[in-house]
Amino acid sequence: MSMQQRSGGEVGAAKRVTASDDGAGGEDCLSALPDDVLIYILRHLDTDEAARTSVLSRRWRRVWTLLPSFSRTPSPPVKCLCSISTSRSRMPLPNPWRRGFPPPRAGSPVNCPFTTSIRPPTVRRRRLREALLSCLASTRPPRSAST
Amino acid sequence: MAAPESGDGNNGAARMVTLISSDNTRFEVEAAAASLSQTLQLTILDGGGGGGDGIPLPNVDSATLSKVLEYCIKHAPAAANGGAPNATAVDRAELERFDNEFVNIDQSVLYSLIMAAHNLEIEGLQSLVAKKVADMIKGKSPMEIRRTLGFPDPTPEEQAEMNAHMLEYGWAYE
Repeated sequence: MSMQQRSGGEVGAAKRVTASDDGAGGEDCLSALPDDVLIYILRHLDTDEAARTSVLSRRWRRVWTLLPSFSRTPSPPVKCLCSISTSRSRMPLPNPWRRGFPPPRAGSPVNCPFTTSIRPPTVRRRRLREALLSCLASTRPPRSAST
Repeated sequence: MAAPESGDGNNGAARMVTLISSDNTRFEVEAAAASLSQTLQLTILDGGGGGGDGIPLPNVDSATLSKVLEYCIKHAPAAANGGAPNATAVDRAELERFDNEFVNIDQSVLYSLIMAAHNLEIEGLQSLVAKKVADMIKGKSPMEIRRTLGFPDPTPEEQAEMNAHMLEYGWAYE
């Protein structure tokens, strides 16, 4: 379980540290990382938050647009009205959320459309799409970011 | 000494492999630990890295590699148990504590780490560091993020661009 370290050349820590000089100008080290890695970081954020990084610098303008998918922050589930009157809860109700929304979770009253969390999807998604298009339009096509 | 071998594969005494950093420092480490890296795993399965030769890693310097291996050695036993189905709560808490402390480091080291984890394809490490960086971004204004991540101060031109962008997409910053 041990790790032996045998030195076989000059230790190169100094080389790496130069990039991290606090404060002083130049590109910051994070922006120097390739898109793949930055996207990996943004995937740990909610899409709104990721979109916000587009303002950081030109380098970041389009990174978030490369995200593989948009995550929608779920709002808390809304209490189901049907569950109050149990006699009616088994009636098959039309499901207004069918398109693009997950079916009610197991354990929720059968066929009740109101147990899925109700999100305000359209406005937010439209804005996200607008932002996406704008960010794409305002930057040049991908260029490898190794400089 | 040697942790109880978890049934599969490794013949007797733990097999060691040698990794060589970009600055020619040699690291000897258990194959099981190095195999957390998908990239290295293939080489090791092919019988590489043993004996005198070692596996050269031209993209990773010694400081970063020793940190990466610290992570791998700590996580290897849990990974060998196939995730952690039979790990005790104590073990898991201990790993969590280790992880939290592990990423409590200088930003430049974090970035080198995530780059190395990306190159070596160490999913857990990459995720751990990405989460840490994401946490530094979460809930902050653009200027705060810039400051936190050590961006240089924006030029007046950049500042104007940022302002225009924020005006247009103010909703995202509410």
